[in-house]
Order: sequence, then structure tokens, then C-alpha cells
Amino acid sequence: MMTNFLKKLVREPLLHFLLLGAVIFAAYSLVSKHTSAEPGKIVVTQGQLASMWESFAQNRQREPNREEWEGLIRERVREEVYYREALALGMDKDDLIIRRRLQQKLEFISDDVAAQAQPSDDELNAYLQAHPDLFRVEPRFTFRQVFLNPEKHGKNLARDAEELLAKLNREGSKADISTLGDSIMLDKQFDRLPASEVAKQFGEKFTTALGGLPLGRWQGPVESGYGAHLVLMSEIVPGSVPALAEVRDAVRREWDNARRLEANDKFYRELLKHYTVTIENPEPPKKTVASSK
Amino acid sequence: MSGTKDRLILVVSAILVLFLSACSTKNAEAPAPQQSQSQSMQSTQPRPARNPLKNAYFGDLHLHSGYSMDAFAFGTRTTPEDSYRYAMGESVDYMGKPQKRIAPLDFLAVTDHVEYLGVVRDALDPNGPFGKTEWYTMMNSTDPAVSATAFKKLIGSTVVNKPLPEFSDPKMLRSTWEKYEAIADKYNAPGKFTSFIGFEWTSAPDFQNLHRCVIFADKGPAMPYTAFDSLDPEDLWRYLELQRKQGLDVIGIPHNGNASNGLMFSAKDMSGKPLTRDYAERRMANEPLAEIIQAKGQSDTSPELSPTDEFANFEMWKYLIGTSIHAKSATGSYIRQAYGVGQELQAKLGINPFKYGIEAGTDFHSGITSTEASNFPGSHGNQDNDPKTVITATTSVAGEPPTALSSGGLTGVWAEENTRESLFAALKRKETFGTSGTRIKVRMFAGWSYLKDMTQQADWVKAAYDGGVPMGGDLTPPAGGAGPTFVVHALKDPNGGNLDRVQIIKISTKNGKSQEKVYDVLWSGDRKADAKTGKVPAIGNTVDVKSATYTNSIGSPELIGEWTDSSFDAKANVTYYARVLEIPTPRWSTYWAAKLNLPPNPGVAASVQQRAWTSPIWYTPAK
Repeated sequence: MMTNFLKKLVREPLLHFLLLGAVIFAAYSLVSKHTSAEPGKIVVTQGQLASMWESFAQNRQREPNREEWEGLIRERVREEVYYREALALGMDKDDLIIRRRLQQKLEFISDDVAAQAQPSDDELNAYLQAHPDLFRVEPRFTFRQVFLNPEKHGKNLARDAEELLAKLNREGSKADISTLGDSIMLDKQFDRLPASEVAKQFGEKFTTALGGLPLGRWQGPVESGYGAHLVLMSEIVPGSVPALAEVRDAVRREWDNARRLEANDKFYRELLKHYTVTIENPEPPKKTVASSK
Repeated sequence: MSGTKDRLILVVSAILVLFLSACSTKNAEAPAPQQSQSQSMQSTQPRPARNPLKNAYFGDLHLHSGYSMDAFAFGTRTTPEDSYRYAMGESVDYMGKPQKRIAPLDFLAVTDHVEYLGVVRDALDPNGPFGKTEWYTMMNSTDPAVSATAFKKLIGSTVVNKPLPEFSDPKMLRSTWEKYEAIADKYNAPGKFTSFIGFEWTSAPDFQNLHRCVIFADKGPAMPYTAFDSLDPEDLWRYLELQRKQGLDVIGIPHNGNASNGLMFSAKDMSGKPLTRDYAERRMANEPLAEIIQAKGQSDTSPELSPTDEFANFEMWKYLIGTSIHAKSATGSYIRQAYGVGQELQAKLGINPFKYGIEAGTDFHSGITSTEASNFPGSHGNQDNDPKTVITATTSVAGEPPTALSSGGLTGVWAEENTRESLFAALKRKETFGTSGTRIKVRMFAGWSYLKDMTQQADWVKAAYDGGVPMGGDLTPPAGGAGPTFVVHALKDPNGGNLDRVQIIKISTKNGKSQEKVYDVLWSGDRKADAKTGKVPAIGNTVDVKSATYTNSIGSPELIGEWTDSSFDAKANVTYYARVLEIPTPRWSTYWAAKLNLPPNPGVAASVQQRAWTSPIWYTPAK
């Protein structure tokens, strides 16, 4: 469909920039009183009609019938009349929604500019090193667990847990954990379960306790949101910061996001430079209320 | 005109500064960034294996970021990027403070109001209202001198000296909508986190809520459908049907029946005509699920409609959308009653138009699914951001008092794995549940010949699938006369309150009349059901309001067991669904009051029983 020339052009940053310029102009046209329309005269142009027709056809996958078409045009004229009257009355001024919407439209543009940036590997690597926690591969746990339901053991929970712990450590790997402890719909054995999965299944408290358990011996009771657990930890794969190649897309995603925030801020500061800002009375209004009493 | 030009130059030069810095590291010939889904974030961890017996995944299918105009007007500055990051467990800035979930979510659809998302695209349409502006004319001038002058002024370059034919093709322009879709795709990480492309269709004639969230299975549409296009749900369905015809699977999800003033589950259509078979068929083909709870209250039932249900008075919302007008009608606004009305209509039309599965969402306008009551930062920007005002206020700019908003709504999905394909298939077959924001896992099965005590077996889930149907399914008529047996399993949120009880709610319809009954079927401790009413006494309350604390010294971590409907009538249509109640825990507003050392707002409950509702299982008699 597209010629090579067009393909190339679409990738051309300058074109993107020009399109952005058009958006800005459009946004400003919305607030500007100077539109190309003559006052007291509404012209629904051929182009607008074509656009309305196409939009209807695209949504419904059919053309509008005569009645629908006339309805669309009537609504378009009605919208234009109200729009112009509202503008003439200055109703766009001091309207929170309109003001913020326009702010948002400009922010969309700086978002788009930020999206043009192409980081080098060096930049991504630097970002990875500066924010290792965002990309750290989680610690993973290989463990077995036996559950004790506090509702069933009541006051004897601590004693029962101690007895069971002794039994498990006596029997070692021969212990048949499928028959020990109380039933609950949790697996009894986990193989290299990532910390976030442990947290989803067992809750925060349990996950925190897990990292500190020594290997090779039944431990506990370890408390979870469900009750008490005896745990045999056999392997902890510690968390690590991966190489860029392993997490390139994630780093790119975060880098893009950081650029976006930066761009918004920079854009604002650039605009602000052209203004002299006077705040008449920067003191909190409380003071004036108090003094008027 | 010159004022406009000056402005233009000012803004463009600001953009230019940005643009040049963005390009500083870039080779001009470098290809544009890839946006294909396969390029999205990868994990160095192996993808978990599919579980044919299914896992429960939690997420939100109803969330607004700052891209929604009303949210932005409330001061919410989060973008959909922030929404996905927060759901995945990252810390994001909301109203100037970092926020992070205690337990990350498994999936999310950001569903911004699309009524405004398309505006930027309109502004760029050369056939549109700006097509005849001076800027556009200059850009497209056949006189190279004119365009060159324009660009020279703007970018100090003479690179472009001829018209750009592509500019007349709107498809070349990356609209806000396309950008919004690309963000969702970027965060989709099969096996770890699922993002869905979605939007909200915001129809509310006279503030009576008929909103629907629209969720796409995978790829999104060229353009969304807005309430500017039509306010009639039947027109939205036509759009959904067209999308499916074009190969994009999609569902709509109605929400806040409670604020619809009786319109959401009305036995009449938008024009006041009685529902037809065709309407019922299309409604169910397009909307398998309904949202049972969100920020603006629950739509299960009301104390007025269910006077014998002592747990009905929970997160009630009495207002029409965005107003302080009280809804006049409860009839037609709540799902439980709609199940009965649907069965009555089924007798006439041959199809039940309200055979809804259950899901839940937040509808937060904060961009973040912060459903943890103890970790709740407010949900509507500056409308409920300042704790002191919120705890004492009785009204707000948006109408309703901010404490009336709940901290709830999450959707639970039973699926083989955490991928778009697996989760969406579960949404369509209604193997879903809704919670008030807590992460209770609940599943229900029904069959005619389940073994007694089957849940004692290690492989009971497989036996339950093999010998019956999961929630969202249909029971076919029985061979014998005995009632169906239900197997229910509920596991508490490991970061939340213990479980009080599991109930099965039965709505049966015969000879055009419907009745509901709530059965206590599983409960904690040694409480005895009342011999006459069958009701199990209240669990008690450990909440200390002043400090906003509770203890899990009552209730169970897990409830599991079977229940047989002994009053089954094979000739009646029946909808069965389960409700799980936690022990009372502090409401979010109580946590806030405690922090400020203030009494909680008297207009809302100090403690609540957080809960979950399963999708129903339906029984239809043989003809």
C-alpha cells in the first residue's frame, strides 16, 4: 500500500514534529476567538460533511439513511450554534473542565515528543544501574510447608506446632507431609516460587519471614494470613540485577516513562519562561479571615 | 490573528527544545520505535505451566486515569502507564504522594471515558473543523515559499519545501486512541500480567446510569464507540457485533445498575417497548457479565428489595450519577431482582435477558486500583484527597459525600493461565466472581450426583468439573427428583479478615412469580443455625473503631463443603449464586478517621463485612 518513500517519510522525525505543530495550532484555535468562521454565518463545509459521513459509516458499517443523515447535519449545526454562543458569552473562561482539558491536550503533545527519543544501549545500561530495584529478578524459594489452622488448635496451637516440628525433624525427608497438619487449599511443595507469588498466595507477613529461614531443617511456626506454618526451606535463589539483554524491554519501558515525565516538566518550564508570574498575596487566606474578625 | 501566531511560535519553540533534546542521542535514520506486542516486556523467569484445573486471578476491568476528562478535572494526573505500573506492584505518584499496592494484581483494563479521547484526532482531520485554518493552508500551500516561510519561522529549517500528501491521510496520525491502545499492549506480559484494551461508553440519560465498560479480547478497534454516537445500549451492541464480525472479540459490561433509577434491568427497552426475543438474545451475546460492586456502591440488592437478607445493607449508593439526586426506583436497578425478572421474561421470550455472570471493578478516577481498605488513598482526585474534609463532609462538588464511596471492587477469574486468551475465555464463560476489593478466592460447582464429603478428596476439583458444572454454567434437567448438590470453596485474602460464612442465594421462578431465599451453607466456629429460620447467628465484631484495628481471633481461614438444595422444584427456573462474608473489619473511612484521631463519619458504617459473590449456576426445566 505505502510506497517506500512514504514509509521513510512516516519515520522522519521532522514530519512527526510538524504534525505536532498542527496539533498545537488546533489546540490553540480552540481557545482563540479568531476562527476562520464569519460571525453570524455557519457553513458546514464539504470536508466536514465527508468526515461526518465517513465516521458514521465506519461505526455502523453502513451508510446513514436520509433521516439519519439529516439528523446528523441538524445536530452539527445545533452544536456549532451553542458552541459559538457559549464562546461569545465567554463561557470557556474560568471553566475548570475546559481549562484542564486544554492543559491535557498540550501534555499529550509533550508525551508524544518524548516518545520520539531512541536510547542507546549505554543510556539504557546507565538507567538499569541507577535503578536496579526496578529490574531486580526476585528471590525464589523452594520449600515445603505444613499448615496448622488456629481455629482447630485454639490455645494449644503453640504446643501442637512444637510437637509437629519435632516429629518432622526426627523423620527428616521420610516424613509424609501429605497426611500431616490441617488441610487448606494451598500446595505443600513449591519449586522456585518467585517472592511475588509467595506474597500473593501466603500474604506479606509470611513472605518477609521466609527470606530469613535457614536451609535444610524444618522451622517455624511461621505466621501467615491463614495461620501457622512449619516450613522446610531447601533452596533460596537470591535476587539479582540482570544484564541489560535479559530485561531490555522492561528497561526501555521504564526509560520511556522517565523521559515522558521529564519532558512534561521541561515543556512546562520552557513555556513558563515566557511569563512573568505575579501572585498578589501568597499568604494563606486564613490570615485575612482571622484579621477580618 | 497575530496573537494566535505569537502563541503558536511560543508553544512550538518550547516543543522544539524538547524535541531536539529527545533526538540528541538519535540517528535520524533510526527506525521508529517498535510497538508490537511481542516486543513487550519479557521476563527472565520461566512462564508458569497451564493449570487445567484453573487458578484464581485478580484484577480490575473498570478504571479511569487522567485521560478521562472528569478525572483530569478532579486533578488526577495519572496516565494509563501509571495505572498498569501500579497494578503490577510498582510505586506511582498520585496526588503528589507515592502509592503502592500491598498485593499486586494479575490483570487490568484501563477503561477511560472515550467521549473525549478522540478529540485530538478530530482536530487533525483535514476535512474536519480545522482543515480550513491558516496553519493548515500554509502547511499545504503549493507555493514552496509560503510553506517554507511557515516552517522556517517554526523550526529554523528549510527542509520541507513541498506539500506533504500524507497529511491528508488521517490514518497516518497517531491519535490519542491509538496511543492509548499501544500503552495497554506494552504492559501485557503473558504468564505474569495481563492488560486488556478497553474503554467506557458513558451513556446516562438524565443522570440515569446506563454505562458499559467495553473490553477487547486482544487487539483493539480502529476507533471506540462513544455516547456521542448513541445513548442506546442496542446501538452499542451493534458496534460490538461489528467488531466481532471483523475478527475482534469483545464484550460489554454494564455497571452501577444501582444508579440507573430502574433502567438497567428494566423489562422495557430504551423506547419504552417490551423486550423482545431478539433483544434478549443480543443482550446476552454482548454482555455476559455485570458489575456487582464498585466505588459507587453495590448492585447486588437493597434492604428494600431483600428485607429478610440481614447482610443486604452494604455499601448502598442512593444517588444518580454525579448528582445529589436520590434514585426513585430500586426496582430494575439490582442484579438479584433482575435474575428473577429475567426468568419471568424467559417464560415469555424463550431467552433470559439477564443471565449475567458476576464481576466487579473500581470505577476509581485516580488511575490506580487501590482496593485495600487499610491502604486506601482516596479514589477521585481532589474530591476525596484531604482526609479531614472527607471524614467530616456531607456533600461534595460532584454531588455525593465522598465517604459514601467504597474502596471496592475486584474481579476474580478462574483461568488456566494469566494470558489474554485464557482470561478472556473465562470472562465469556462466566467462570468469574466479584469482590468488594478483598482477595477472597471462591469457586462453586453444581452437579446431580456428587459424592458426599467429596471435598475431603485431594482431587476434588477435578471430580467437581467431571461430575458437574462450574459457576457460570447451566444444569441440565436431572434424571431423578433430588435437588442439585453444590460444592463451594472459599479461601480468605491472606492480608485480610477471616471468613464468617458462605451463603447460597436462590432465586426461583414458577408461574410468572419469583422468590429469593438466602441459605447459610458453610460457616466458621461452632455456631448453630436457628432451627426455624436456618440462619446462623452473627459472628461478632473485633473492630476497635478508635484505633481502626481488628483481630482474626474469630472466623476461619478457609470454608469448604457441599450443600444440597432439599426444596428443589424441577419445574421452576432457578438462579443460584454464592456470597462469602468476611468477619467485620474497619471500613477505609475508619482507617482515615483513626489516623486523624477523629470519630468516623456517622453517615457510613464504621466496620463492614467485606465479601465476594460468585457468578450463578442456572437451572432451566425441561420443556
